[in-house]
Amino acid sequence: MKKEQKHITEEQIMSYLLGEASMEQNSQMEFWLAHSEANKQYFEQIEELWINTEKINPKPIVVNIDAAWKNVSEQIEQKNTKKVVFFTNKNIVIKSFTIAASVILLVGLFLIFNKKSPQMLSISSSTEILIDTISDGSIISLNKNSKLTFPEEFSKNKRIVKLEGEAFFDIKRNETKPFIIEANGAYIQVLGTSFNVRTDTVSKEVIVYVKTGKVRLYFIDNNNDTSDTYLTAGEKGFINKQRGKAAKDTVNNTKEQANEIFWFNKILIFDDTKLADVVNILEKKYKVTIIIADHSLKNEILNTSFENESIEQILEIISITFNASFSKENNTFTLQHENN
Amino acid sequence: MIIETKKEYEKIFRTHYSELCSYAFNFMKDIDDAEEVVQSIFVKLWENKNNLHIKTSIKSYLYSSIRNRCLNSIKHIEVRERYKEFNKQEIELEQNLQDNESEKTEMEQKVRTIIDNMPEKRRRVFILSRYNRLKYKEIAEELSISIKTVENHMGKAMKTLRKELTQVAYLIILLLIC
Repeated sequence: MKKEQKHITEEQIMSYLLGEASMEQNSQMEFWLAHSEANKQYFEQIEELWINTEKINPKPIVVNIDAAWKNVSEQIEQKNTKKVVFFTNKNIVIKSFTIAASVILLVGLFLIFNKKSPQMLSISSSTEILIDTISDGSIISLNKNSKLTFPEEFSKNKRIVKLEGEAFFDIKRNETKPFIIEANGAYIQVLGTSFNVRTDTVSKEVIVYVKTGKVRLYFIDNNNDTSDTYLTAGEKGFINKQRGKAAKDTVNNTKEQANEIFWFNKILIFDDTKLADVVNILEKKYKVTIIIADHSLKNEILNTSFENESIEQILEIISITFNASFSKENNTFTLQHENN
Repeated sequence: MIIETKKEYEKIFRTHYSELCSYAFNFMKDIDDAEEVVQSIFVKLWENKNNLHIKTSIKSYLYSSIRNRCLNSIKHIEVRERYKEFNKQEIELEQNLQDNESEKTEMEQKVRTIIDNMPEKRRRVFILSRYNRLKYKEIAEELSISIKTVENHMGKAMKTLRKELTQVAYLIILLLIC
């Protein structure tokens, strides 16, 4: 019996306390507890400790302190080196001027002897969607009235492009050369992934929806401070340089996810969606007006997906599903029951 | 000046980071967002280290900076109002704690430090069990380890807590006697 006593450890006591022990372990535990007052006291000490640990406020969450320190440490190092040039004594200022002058001279000589300054190219779309592959193998799909500017050849360590309008990017992975998109003064940085970028010319907002992989969305303000947010697949990020702060949202279901890049793949998914809501979405996506003439139709529920179909085809399918018919006049469609 | 070297700064960071994240989490409801806020406050602290005038303690300075930053980033006015109310209560609560229960908070602080100093995996297991109230099986799945390993970590965590805390209790008793 004494042997058994020794075998009871903190581990076994915790399993017993938390209801994680088996029947056999439980009875073994009870036997041990009843065996001596000392055992009981030892048990109660641990039980009390367990209860006391609950009382800390705010309650602990799981964070990685080392990783966080590394991140913060890098950030302050960066800020330190930036300041060295400007805020040290005159000697260094003169020195840095000398260095700067020689750098300019060298760059000048380089440009004279090597007349290959990067040629900027651009692709732009007007009334049609435009799909193009650029020099690094990335595929860019430009929505209507959009423009992408990029160098003929990317620099050694970065791939920088500039976007106006909306585009879907499928970026070729290159760990050593991050792909950076500049849009309305905000930046989107990736290694290799696919995502959609929409810029709003009026509000100056940049909206990024990530289909696969991970994306960093950030901007640098006038004080040289960075505000950023990381987005992963299925997330949507917003940034507005004028209003500051990067924010994000999760696009939860597959329906919303697909509808986010509808302009690009023309896929619409409806699950358990009321016909009234379906019509709202169709009106926006196809820029048409749809009237539901019969009130009873509005509450019908639709479960389907449409891929690359015209508005007429979609309304045809809806009509068949709900025993209805539709008529068209200019840009306005009317849905009603067949027998009317 | 409170912080002169990077070493001192690192020490402050490591001592308070985890606790401040828990605090920020109360507002942000998202671990990444909470960490982002706390890290940005620490970067600011380093930048302003030369012209920092802290009347109370560095800890309460960090607490109030984080509270303000969190409230600013919570967009919706409605939510902000609600938190203001919550905040009022909390300030009172903090006051009460400081007023009459200094040993208890010292104990809390000790528990927190012990948890913070546990090896990474053990800390995760302990927090998930104690504060997220997950079952051993759920923890095992979450961390891709066996249930046996979870049991083992819990046993070791409690052993450390018991050892170090009984020492503290012993010290408090000693102080009371002397």
